[in-house]
Amino acid sequence: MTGDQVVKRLKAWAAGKPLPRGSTLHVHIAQNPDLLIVAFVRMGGESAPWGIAYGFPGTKPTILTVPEGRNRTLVADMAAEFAPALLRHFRHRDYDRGSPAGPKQIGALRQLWLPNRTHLDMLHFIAYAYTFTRVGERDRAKTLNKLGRATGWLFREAMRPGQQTVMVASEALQTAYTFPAEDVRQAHLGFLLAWAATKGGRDARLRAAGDAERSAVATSLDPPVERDDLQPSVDDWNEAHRNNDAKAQSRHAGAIEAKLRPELVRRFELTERAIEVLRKDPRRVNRGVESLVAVSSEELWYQFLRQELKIDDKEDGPAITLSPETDRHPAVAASRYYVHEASDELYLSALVHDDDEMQAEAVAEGHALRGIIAKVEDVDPGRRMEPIWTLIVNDDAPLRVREGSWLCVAGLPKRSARVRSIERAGPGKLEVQVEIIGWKKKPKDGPRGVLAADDPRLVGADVTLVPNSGEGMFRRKSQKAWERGTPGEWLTHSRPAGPQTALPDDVGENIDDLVKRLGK
Amino acid sequence: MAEVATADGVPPSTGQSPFAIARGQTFERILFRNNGKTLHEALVEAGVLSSRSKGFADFRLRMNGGRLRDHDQAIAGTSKLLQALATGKEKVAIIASATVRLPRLIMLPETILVSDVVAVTGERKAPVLVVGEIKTYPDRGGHTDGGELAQARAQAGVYVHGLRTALTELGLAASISVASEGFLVLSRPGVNRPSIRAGEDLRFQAWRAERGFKQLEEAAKGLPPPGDKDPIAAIRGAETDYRQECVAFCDRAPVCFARAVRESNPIVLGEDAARFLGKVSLHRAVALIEGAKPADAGERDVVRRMGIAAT
Repeated sequence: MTGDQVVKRLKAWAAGKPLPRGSTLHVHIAQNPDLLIVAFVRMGGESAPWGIAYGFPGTKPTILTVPEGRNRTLVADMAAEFAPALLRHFRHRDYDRGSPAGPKQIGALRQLWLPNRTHLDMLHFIAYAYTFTRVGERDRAKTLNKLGRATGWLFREAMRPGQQTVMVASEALQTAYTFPAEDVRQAHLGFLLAWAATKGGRDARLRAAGDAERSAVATSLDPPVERDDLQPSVDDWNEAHRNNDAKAQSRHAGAIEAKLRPELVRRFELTERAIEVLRKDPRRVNRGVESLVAVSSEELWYQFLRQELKIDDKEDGPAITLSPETDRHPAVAASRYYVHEASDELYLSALVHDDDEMQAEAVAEGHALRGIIAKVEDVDPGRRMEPIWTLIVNDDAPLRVREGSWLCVAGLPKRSARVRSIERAGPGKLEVQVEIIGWKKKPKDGPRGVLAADDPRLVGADVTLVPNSGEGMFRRKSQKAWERGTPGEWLTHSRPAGPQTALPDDVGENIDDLVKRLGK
Repeated sequence: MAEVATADGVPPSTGQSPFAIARGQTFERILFRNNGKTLHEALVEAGVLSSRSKGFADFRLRMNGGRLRDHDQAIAGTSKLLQALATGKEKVAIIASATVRLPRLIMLPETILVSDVVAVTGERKAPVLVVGEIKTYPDRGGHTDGGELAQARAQAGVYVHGLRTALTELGLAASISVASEGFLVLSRPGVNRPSIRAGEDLRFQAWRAERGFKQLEEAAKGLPPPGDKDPIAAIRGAETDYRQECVAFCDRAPVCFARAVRESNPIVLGEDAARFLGKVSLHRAVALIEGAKPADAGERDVVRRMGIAAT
């Protein structure tokens, strides 16, 4: 935690309630038909779902359960029943007649909302179980393969900074509010909602939050629920299963379902409530979220739909079914690494221009500068404009900006600048000289009232310079990772070798095929 | 601790899932069946054991799928095996549930340590014991929970320290060594096959374990003497040091948290907040935020840092 975050947490404690974080909201919330909520429960020690709840906000969730979470056939049948809903939602061509045929046809972004991070882990477990499975009836195995690929992509996408496709409700609330509580407790969605929605002062909210966290929201159930409510029925079902007693099996399965249903519904409804809290927030959504949504839509096409259609892409690589474990080919790893770097750059730079509080945080952390323009000059003797601004800034926090750093004017991301010098200008003051590189002239298509960078009327103006985004550079690097004849080709285009690289095709991606296609 | 929590008026909520316990037992049974064949193959593949290594010693109790009646039998068997290994009379590759007794300290009773699994290497030279820790949770590569891995390493470190102490007690420290590197045995997601994480550095965990035993000895001085009429009351009356990690494993966490709130301890907002405020209480921090005048140099410093950070 930064000092600023600690102070905000203290202020939230003093106020006795969660406080808004940022002057705008940084989360995209899709319309109800584009927003699928999914919640899981699992049997203790298992990594497969025991029950699944899914549906759209404002509707009754569909509940699927199996009587025995350790029975792989039953679990696979349940997963295959769930698969069409998820694949249709993410517009898979086999389940959506209007499935996009290119990145421009994505339309409104489809989102998946999950209660907390353990539910995200379940997506990963499902990817492990089914991406390459061949077990069981052929059509079911194919459906499960699609489900495995979809959940694998969703899990990977959830790791990309700033993505807006897979939303973990507890984290979305933490992005929007500062809660007066420890980090560990903030993973509990019920705890956060009790703090946010309970009426009254600190004591009432604290009490409600303490009560709420007694009921599990994670995929695991409370041990007493398993021990006292479920284990006897599971034992009975197993006994009936061994005896081939269909009637008794059905009865015990019903009893198990009756215990699992409320657990699933509670997790579903908590997620629904988190969405409601965010929708009711009076703050507007940050204008930068639009760029994040656009990139998320592109990722849906390039990393999922395109791969399902088996279309190779010059800039995003050949279509390949990735292993849930890791990137086994260096070009895949390099490309995705740069995509993550680009996303991280975009995330901050897209939001900071439309959020005063984020700008203040960046200044407090020393990543940005805030000061008064003391001098404006054009140092180019000819017709070419070379504007230099001299800023006076307070020297009251550690500064991470250095000579040579690239910044841009807050609110005007295209007006970029390079720091030429940083000098002391008296007690508690610094003199910072920056050269304006981008948008030097009065922009034709920019916001109103923006002056040319060499306009003397800028003297005396307050200005905030925030880090300039390197997103484009990293994006280009991610594309270059696929090209031959570029520096680093010896690494990105070398064939993986060494222990554990030769894997059966039901465990990892088909590296031979990828190497062949990269060699074209 | 569940009993103490009940006495505090808090219904115990932690404990283990019966299904998780059963799963753990099944996983261990699979690893050790047929003289540890599955585990041996996995350890050879991970480079912990050589393909020539062989031999399996099993000191598991009946309740855990073994043949031994009690810990005494397991301790005697393990000691005998260690002596035979030291003299080269016996060779094994895997020891299941190696059980050692640590000598009694002044305040603490004697301690019995049961290591999940120990691999024996150094076929041509003196034997080297490599400690392994078995966990049922799935190995998801870089996505495996870091906290759980740290916990497993810490446990393995305790066994490294325990085995070294036991070898010294048996006078075998010169002829058998315990490796500072160990391994973790996790499951592969969705299946009951092992995934080995070899080369785990346990040096610092073993040091921590050694220090932990000394601290336990210190802590034991505050415990009621054996035979005390009301040990639960004594534990309830003892000082506690609440922090957020307690939430994950201790039934008494709500009691200690409530006490920390009553005492206006900033730890209720996390360790960063506690560090930030130092000796300044939460109550005073709130007052300072609301404009109270700092009473001393510590409070002045907090106000200054709040001002800077909140600019």
